[in-house]
Amino acid sequence: MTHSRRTAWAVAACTAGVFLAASACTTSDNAVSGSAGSAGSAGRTSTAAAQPVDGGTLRIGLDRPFAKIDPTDGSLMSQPLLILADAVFDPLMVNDAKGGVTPYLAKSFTPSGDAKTWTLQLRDGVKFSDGSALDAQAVIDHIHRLSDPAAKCSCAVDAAAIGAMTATGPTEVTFTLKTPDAAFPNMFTRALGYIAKVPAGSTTAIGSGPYTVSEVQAGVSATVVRNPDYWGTKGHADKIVYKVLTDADSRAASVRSGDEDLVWNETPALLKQARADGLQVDTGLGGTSTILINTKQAPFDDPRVRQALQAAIDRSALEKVVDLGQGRVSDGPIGATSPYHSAAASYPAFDTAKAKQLLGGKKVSFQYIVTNDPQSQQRATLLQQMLGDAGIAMTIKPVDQATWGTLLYQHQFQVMDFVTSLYGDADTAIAEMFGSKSPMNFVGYSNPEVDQSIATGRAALDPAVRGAAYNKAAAQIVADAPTLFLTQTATGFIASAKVGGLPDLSHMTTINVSPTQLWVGK
Amino acid sequence: MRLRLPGAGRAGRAVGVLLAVVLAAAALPHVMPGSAALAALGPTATPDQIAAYDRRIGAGQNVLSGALHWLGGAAHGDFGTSLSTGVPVATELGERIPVTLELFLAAQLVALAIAVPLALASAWRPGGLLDRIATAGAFLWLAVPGFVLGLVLIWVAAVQLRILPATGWVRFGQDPAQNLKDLVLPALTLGLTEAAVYLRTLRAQLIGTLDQTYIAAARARGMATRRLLVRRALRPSALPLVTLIGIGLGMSLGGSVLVETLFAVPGVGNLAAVAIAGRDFPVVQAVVVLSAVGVVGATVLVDLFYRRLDPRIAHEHR
Repeated sequence: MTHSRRTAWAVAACTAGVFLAASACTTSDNAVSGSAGSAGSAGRTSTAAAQPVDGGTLRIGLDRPFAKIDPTDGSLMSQPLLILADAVFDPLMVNDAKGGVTPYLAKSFTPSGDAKTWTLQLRDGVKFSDGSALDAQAVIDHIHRLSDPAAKCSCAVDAAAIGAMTATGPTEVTFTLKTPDAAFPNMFTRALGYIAKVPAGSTTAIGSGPYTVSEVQAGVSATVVRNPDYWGTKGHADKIVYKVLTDADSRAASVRSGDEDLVWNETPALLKQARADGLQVDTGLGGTSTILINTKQAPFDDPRVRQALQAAIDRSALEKVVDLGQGRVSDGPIGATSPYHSAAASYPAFDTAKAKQLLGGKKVSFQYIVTNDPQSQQRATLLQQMLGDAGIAMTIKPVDQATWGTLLYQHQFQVMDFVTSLYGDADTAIAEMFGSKSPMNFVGYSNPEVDQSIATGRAALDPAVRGAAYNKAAAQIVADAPTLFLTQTATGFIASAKVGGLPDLSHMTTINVSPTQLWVGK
Repeated sequence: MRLRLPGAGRAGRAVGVLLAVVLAAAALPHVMPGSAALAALGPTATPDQIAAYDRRIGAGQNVLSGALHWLGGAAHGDFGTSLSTGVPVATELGERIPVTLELFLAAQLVALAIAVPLALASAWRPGGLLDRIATAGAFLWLAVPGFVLGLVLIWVAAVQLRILPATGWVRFGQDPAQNLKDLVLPALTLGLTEAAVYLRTLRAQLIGTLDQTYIAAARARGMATRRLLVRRALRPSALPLVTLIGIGLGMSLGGSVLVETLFAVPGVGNLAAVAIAGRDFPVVQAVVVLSAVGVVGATVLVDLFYRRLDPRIAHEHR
């Protein structure tokens, strides 16, 4: 599943610990140095004028419907829709271009020595769009609202890590965690950090963002206008019109026809065509395609069988055929844009003979669960062929997204296609996907050494210590092969030549562009 | 002596069909694959939370009581609340139905404007050049899936010529001119496909009608060809066409999912697609029943219209 196509399920999977997306480090003070790695051919091709233009209307095509403009809506908090969320709400923390997170609505986020107590300082004088103060109590109220099961926010899992919250000043909140977490500020890059409130007598959430909602039809469109009282850098466009355009082909065509200025895209062929047509393409490695292997079910409870699958798959071929050379071969659970990514990370080479040797004549057959989107189907067909060469029989079972999610969550699968934005950030991705007690550990993987490395990493404020711990865990995970890492895929925006201000996304762990950065040329 | 009301049997059958559909729709939470509770609550939901959610959507309820509960609400205009948006389903449908109906009517205009003149001309000289071209064209057209046609139209009219928008929708009340522009491509996509069906159906009927002796008599009396075709041949030949339009009207209330998705038209089909993917059962249930009401209602209307088109039908059933 790609983050865009798996809609609600993907969102649940990827934000059910919103954590899934952000991690990497804590504040900029704690930023980890390290190789960001090659970002494949993801990046930006820009033809726009560099001189900002104020005024006008920016038209943005979204790839999925939102249920409501409220951080409780998982769809709104998914990567492709953050460009709408960022218009209305301000996040406490944002992902930066170095793979870390940095304060935005927050002024600072400071840990105690044991990473168990964190002090959040808010900017002074920030107000919601109704004029009320966005202060420490507003932050606490927001977190309480999202933690309530009635809100149905998957971010409640993150909030559960908080033992206590206290307003220790008008703009200061002190968080006491149940266990040390050096990456605690990362969870405030998504729902928990997008501070909102629902005024009394209203059912609509408001924020303190650079724009305010002037018109909305859930799942169809939203129009926002510039917030004249915005505390920060004001947006260039007077108005932004967001339209939900779920069909990828017509969404891309809308930019060519001039109906939209900017659209989200994850389809490799459309990205390639857009480049060829002279449109602006701005992408990062926003998704990682992986294969989940249920380690609790035979024959995959035998690590040699999982390793045989690993050896039988030619990831370079998948990248060339499915991603059309626009992505990057993945080498493990630490994405290439993560500050923890190590150039020394190794992944077993494609070797059909070794796969056969690992199987030792054992007949292996299994069912591969995949959704109906074209890239997943194409990948499944190629995998079937590669595994067939190694004597492994794979049958493909396409299912709709809701069924896919149910099978995933209930662990009712042998092997499953899984594309996610999680692995850009290692802090939470490794802990959530491979921690033996994590509810997101869909593959049932358990390794005490990995658990220990995760615990060491999460408690260490020193980025070097944390990076070393995560790389140790990653190496063990790759060796045990509960999940096979295939490719990192290019995701991002296609824009007309009139759009200016597109940032370089190639080194971002989460594709998140504030609409205030963008302008529409004449 | 038993008093028999005219149309009572037909009305009884219609009510029976609708009740069966309501029952089937109430069974959806039981039979559709995938868990709505897990979709909404995520993998960390506790069993209690899942059970509470299932109760809310009627998954734990038996089908009959679910259907009765739904009917009780529907009788008061309450079709439940969308699980994803929290908006009453009646409100959602109220916003979407006019869009779908507008699209349907425009598509019918396109289809009839193409099919009727072509069918008349083809039937007048069966086997002639025009007839062969029209018949072959209709075959070809029927073989082209609607979404392919839609993409081709987008490419030509929106991308290359830039005369029409590729996607989007503005309500007529907001901006009539923009609304009509937004309408053209989706209406053409739906209408052109239906035109091929209408053309083949009407042509076959017209050929049969033109063989009738009363037509030969009218021709012998020197009636002008156009008058003959339109006044004498078209009306009795139009019954199957009316049936097709009627069924199309009913089904359109269920929405044209592909076309509405392709062109981002916020109609019932678009709503249904999102609701099905998110297992938003109250919305799915309402759309299913609405579609059934549309088909049944349109069938009744078609029956009534038959009697006007061909008085013999009314006479036979008297």
